[in-house]
Amino acid sequence: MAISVEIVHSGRALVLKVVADSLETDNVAGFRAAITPMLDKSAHFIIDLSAVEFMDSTGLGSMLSCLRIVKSKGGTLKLCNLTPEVKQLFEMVMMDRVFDIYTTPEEALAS
Amino acid sequence: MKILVADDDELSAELLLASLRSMSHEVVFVNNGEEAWKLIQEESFRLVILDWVMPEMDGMEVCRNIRAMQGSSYTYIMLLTGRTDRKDRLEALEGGADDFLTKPLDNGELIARLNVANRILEMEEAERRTSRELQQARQKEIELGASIQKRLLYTPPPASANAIETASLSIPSQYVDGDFCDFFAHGTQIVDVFVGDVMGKGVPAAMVGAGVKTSLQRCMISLLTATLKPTLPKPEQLLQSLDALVCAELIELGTFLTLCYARFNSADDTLTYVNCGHPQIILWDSLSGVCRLLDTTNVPLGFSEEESYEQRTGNLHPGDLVLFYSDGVTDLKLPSGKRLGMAGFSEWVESRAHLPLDEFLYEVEHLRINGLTGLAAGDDFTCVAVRYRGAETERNGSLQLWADHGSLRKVRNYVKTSARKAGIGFTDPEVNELLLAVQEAASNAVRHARVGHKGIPIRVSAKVEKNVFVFELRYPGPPFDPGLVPEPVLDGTKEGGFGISIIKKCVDEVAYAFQGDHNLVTLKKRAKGNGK
Repeated sequence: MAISVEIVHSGRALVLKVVADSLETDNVAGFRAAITPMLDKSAHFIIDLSAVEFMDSTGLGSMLSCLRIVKSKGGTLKLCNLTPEVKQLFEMVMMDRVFDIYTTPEEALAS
Repeated sequence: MKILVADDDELSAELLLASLRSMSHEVVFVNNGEEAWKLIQEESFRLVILDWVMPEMDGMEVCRNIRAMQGSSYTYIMLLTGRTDRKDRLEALEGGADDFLTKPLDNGELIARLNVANRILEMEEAERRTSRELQQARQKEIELGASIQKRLLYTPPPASANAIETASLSIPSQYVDGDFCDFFAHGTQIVDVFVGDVMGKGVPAAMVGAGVKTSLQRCMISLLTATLKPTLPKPEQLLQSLDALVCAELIELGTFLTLCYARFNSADDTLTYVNCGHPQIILWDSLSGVCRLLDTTNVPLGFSEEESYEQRTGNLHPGDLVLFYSDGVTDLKLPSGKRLGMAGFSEWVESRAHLPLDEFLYEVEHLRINGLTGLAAGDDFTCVAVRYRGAETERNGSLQLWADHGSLRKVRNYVKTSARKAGIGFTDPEVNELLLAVQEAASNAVRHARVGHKGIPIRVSAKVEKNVFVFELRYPGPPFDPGLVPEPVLDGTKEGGFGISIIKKCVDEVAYAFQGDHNLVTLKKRAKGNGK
């Protein structure tokens, strides 16, 4: 299962889009490898999850890992465009309180 | 001709040099043996004329040195001497001299002897040219043979064919050998793999291999078309038919070959094989993690025209590894100096059989590099690895698969379809909860079933009991105790540890049990929403 991360907008914050229909045990290593170098390119990030229809606890762990890296450098990381399935997972484990979640990238940029 | 003359008697040398130059030879002159030997090592002379008696290093010593030297072309040596004694001359001939020039020098004799030298050197040159051409022709033949082998003999199954995945490694000993392999894919459920090894090496072995392979294909076609309603011939029928076609010829040619023919059938999860003297098939059972050597069934082809072929059949599970290999593998020497052998190789395979096939073969290649000592390097080395995946479709209400990279999606698809078909009114979020619970349980199984293993066989089943969706997951490995898993930290400071808690939140009941030799995880979920 191929996974990649694309830069869709770069300004004050870098907007990254996860290009894969799932973020899970089977492709999490690929996700980490793709996103880690990008976390050096800016301090502020918005991750667009509109393509991700399924995420498991390992995928969630990788998002938390990104959040920790960005915060340790004094930056911010916001999520947007969560599919209902992924939103459901975030709410289930109360990660909606840990992450700043927005409906669209524009809304996240404006906040 | 380029000639070196070494003589400490400059007066007699002058006469010789003048004669040689008048015959248009290129002449280099030195007045002692040591200098002559130095020059001979630096430059190439076709003819060397040495005075026998010289101070420091005499002509005989230079002569012996030249003969001891491994030059690329022949150096013709004449000794210049006043000695006519038979014993002396015999000694000089023994020491490597080709001819003599007697002092005082006679011009007529010199011309005659130079003509002899020239004739011999020309013959030597012609012989060398012929030998070089022969060598080139042989090299060309070897390269052609290697290309025949690559194109005609070695056709391993594609990486993925029907219910199997394969990878193979073939390292011929002298560019070309008689190892061959091929496959037949029948429909979507059956694939046959066969490997063979012809006695001997080189182009003749490769040609016999190609001939037998073609004959086997002919047998398959003729058996398939023998009746109006084609039925797939059994491996034993096929071998019997091949034997009838080639055995007498092999006996006449004075050769034989070992052959192993195996059929993977995902319709009934079986392996049926005939093994004619080939190294025993290694079967690694993915459930138990244990390797077994499968019995040989027959003698090699070309041994006996009265052989009656019999096949054996055994069960396969998704994830099982089946290995075919040549004796080049089992002949490898262990660091202790002991031969690896089939039992040794089987033991070696057991701890690596779970690896993805390309990684497994990488390890095999390393085994070869480490195991090569002296002459063992000359053996053909072939290994064809087949991972049985099975049909991976639902059968008798359950789905069996080899859970490695990428297979969790198959489990989710199975559950998604089953939940929709269950007809008990799950809403979309409820189906998503089911998928999350199943994903966490299955990925937990893959992670913890066998430490360090990248794949395990799992069996999942889904059914509806009294309006409750029941999902069962079975997998091998040590018993799993969820009580030992700490409660998750939900403030974002910990990246893992959510799995068990997600399962609990997503389904109504979860039970972990250990039955016989495998774990059983049961998840139950009722529909509460307003789904259809």
